[in-house]
Amino acid sequence: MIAGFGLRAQDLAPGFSGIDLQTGDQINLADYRGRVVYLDFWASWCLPCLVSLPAYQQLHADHQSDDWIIVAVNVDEDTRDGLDFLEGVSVTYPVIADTEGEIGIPYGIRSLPVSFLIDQQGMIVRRYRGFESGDEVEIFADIQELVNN
Amino acid sequence: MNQAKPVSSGRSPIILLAALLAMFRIPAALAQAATLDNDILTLHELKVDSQYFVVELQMIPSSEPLAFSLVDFAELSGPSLENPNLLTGNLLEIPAIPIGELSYWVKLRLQEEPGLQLILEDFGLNADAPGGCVRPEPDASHGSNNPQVVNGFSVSTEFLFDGGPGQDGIPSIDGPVFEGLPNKGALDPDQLVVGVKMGDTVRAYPHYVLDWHEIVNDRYSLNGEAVRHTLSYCPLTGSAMMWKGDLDGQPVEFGVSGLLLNSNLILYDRNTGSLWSQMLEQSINGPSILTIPERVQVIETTWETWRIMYPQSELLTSFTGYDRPYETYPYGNFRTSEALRFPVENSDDRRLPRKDRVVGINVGDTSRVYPIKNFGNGVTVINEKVGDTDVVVVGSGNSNFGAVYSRQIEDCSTLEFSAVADQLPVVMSDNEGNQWDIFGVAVSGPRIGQSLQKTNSYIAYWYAWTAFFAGTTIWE
Amino acid sequence: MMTQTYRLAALLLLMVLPDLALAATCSCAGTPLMGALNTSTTEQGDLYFSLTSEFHEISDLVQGRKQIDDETGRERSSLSQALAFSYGLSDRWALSGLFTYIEHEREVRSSFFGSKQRTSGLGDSVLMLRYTPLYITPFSRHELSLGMGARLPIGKDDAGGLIRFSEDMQPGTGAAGAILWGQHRLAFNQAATRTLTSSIFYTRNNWENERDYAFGHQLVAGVDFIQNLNTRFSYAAGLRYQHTTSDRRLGFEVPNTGGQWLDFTPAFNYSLDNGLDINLSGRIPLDRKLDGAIQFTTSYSYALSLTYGF
Repeated sequence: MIAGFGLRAQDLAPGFSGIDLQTGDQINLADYRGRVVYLDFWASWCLPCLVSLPAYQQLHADHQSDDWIIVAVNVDEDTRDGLDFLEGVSVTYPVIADTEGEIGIPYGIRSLPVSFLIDQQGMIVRRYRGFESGDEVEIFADIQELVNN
Repeated sequence: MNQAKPVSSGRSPIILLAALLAMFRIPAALAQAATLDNDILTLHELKVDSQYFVVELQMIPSSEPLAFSLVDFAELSGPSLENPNLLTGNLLEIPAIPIGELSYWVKLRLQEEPGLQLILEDFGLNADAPGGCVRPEPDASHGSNNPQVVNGFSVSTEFLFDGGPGQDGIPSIDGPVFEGLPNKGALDPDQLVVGVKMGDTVRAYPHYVLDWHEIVNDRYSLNGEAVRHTLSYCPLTGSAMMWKGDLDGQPVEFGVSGLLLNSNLILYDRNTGSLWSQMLEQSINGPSILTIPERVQVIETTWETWRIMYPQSELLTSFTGYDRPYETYPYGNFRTSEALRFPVENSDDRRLPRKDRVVGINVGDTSRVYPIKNFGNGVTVINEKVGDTDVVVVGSGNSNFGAVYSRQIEDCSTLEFSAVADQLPVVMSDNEGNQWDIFGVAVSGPRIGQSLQKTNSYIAYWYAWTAFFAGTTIWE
Repeated sequence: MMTQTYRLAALLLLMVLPDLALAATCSCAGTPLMGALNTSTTEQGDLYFSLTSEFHEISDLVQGRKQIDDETGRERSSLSQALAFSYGLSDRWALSGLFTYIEHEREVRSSFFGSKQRTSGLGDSVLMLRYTPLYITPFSRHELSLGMGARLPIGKDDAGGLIRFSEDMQPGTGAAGAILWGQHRLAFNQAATRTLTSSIFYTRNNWENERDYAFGHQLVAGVDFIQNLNTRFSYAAGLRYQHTTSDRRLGFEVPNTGGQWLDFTPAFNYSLDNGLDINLSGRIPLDRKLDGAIQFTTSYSYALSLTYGF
């Protein structure tokens, strides 16, 4: 497989669809047009994700609204590893599986964790690489800014 | 041309000076009884019966036979010189006039008619008197006769480099072990050795060991005493020589400094730390700067030739105390290629292939080389003059040796040499019927035991010789 | 915010990349230069700096494959400080560079010039452009990188004052060289916590310096296995092969230069919270076959490196 070019701000967010691992619902990026989407790529072997997922869950729990949503993409080769991870770190926002890179490759992901802030028109506004505790504050501020505009 | 002046008692300057000197009784040893200056002959002390005079004579131009006129004279208060000139009757005897390097005795006959003159009667060379025949000491310096010392060095440092291993990185052999009566197979017949003969001691130092150590601090027995001698061989310039290990009366050892001048070994002495250029045969830096060591003639040749010359020769072994691969030559194909290992002066003088071995000689500013290969088969002898020195060059292409000696012997006569074949170590005979060996020693004939004077000569690679001595001529 | 994979990359660069043999006349199998070159995997705008201290003990006297006793009490060593950077020009193109400061030391048994001789100064620099057509990602286990650059002789090559030192004691080579580099990485798992890196590094030294001296051309090939134990600590074990042709003066081969070396290269890496990586690596000779009659060569070497990414 050939890694795609890393996507950046000003790029159009590639569309994708998948099944929510926890609810079984169909998830399409296109359905979220009009809302700010925070798209997070993660895997069970990504150690910073032990910190990022709970932080995102906290954001989701505290500030959930119709204006924005977190969508997580699990890239574990074996999705069961991802599900095992979720038993320890439970999240209530959508999580879809991408074992083959159908989503990850168009987004040009290389290392984890990496996430994208997508505006209401489907444009990538910002890319975040890595995660440290406390980063969620800045992330939510960015989401808010988009929501309020 | 001056006319002879009438005798007068007007004192000429020379007379006055001579009288003055006599008054102050210049030590006899310093004053000459007679001196000749251009056409003025001054007799500083002439004994006539019991009186003493200083006399000035002038050569009469175009006189045949040679005649002198009296210019001036003055009486001395008394004798002050040994060996004064004598006037007995009408015969004037002058025991010694120094002319150039030589000393002559002269007899003049006094003639009063038609005018007072002294006519040359007889003259000859003073052979034995001090100031008689003095065989000129050769200029022992290979370098400039007037070296300037700049930054502590008497040579330019432009071609002076650190060779890499550092001082004593190439260890000298300080306790050489020799094999007495080695058998013929100890070396291959065409392997080169450096041969030395001092008295009854004959030693060969093979290149295959010297290539790895470059210096052997050895001892030779002279008059019952063990005297230090250092043999040095530079593998990069193919040059070997032996110096007496004596510095200001103290025994001295040398080591490899790790530095190179024109790719040639620079030694250091272990008494003062001074640096010595091997091919310049002179100290170039340090407390002993400009000192020239006393040299011993060495003969570089093949093991086969050396064994024919001196079958009783000892051979330096590879028991050196060091673990080195002696069976391997350390510098690849350097001996036969045109490669230079370090930058050298005059490297575009390619009149000969760079590694051609030549025996070269320096006399003052004159430099000449004789390529070994040009000597051809058998023994070749050349009588010629290099600079102001009459030299004999003896060499062989197929037996692989070459040496240069002075042809002028102690009594100032000059011999003519011719080659002697098939009688090694005898290589030449002279016009007096003497036979001489490769070390320049007469082994038979009237002069048996006499030695020819060494010259400033040794064998080296062509490129190294012309690096040090530009403008050298080549014997074809 | 350095992620896991970047930390691995930082570890890699320090062991996998070969050294440039500056000291070819004593064939010291690498007075360090290239070993400190930073080839961190970068994305556009990433900037890495590393500072490396590398020490070489060059006191083995070798004939061919055999070590022999020196007995001259001679010691020789080299210490280099290197500042390296790596900058992502785009997602595929990066620029790597290196500046060095070199100290050589030579000690002899007895000397009228002082026992220790030392040269020091700026060494050569390197500038290299890298292209990475294939990256390791969660979906691809292979990475391929190619580089092309030059070794620049901005350093000092005339140490020694009146009596210049030989080439192997000079901090710099005095001549430019062309560099080609290629590297492949294989990840054994999706997390890339276990990887195998193979690299080749070729330096072509066609140009002679002011004293008509050119160092030998050099090929270095390395294979390294790297294992992350946790977020902080990783170790590596590798093999390094080097082949250097002989040096030349005026186009003629300089005897006793050139040869082949095979070394074992272990390394340990520790990552701090603040993003600083500390790396300790070594080189232990396994086998060597040196050209010529006799050469001094590296007995061992080790390096300490600090890397930080922005």
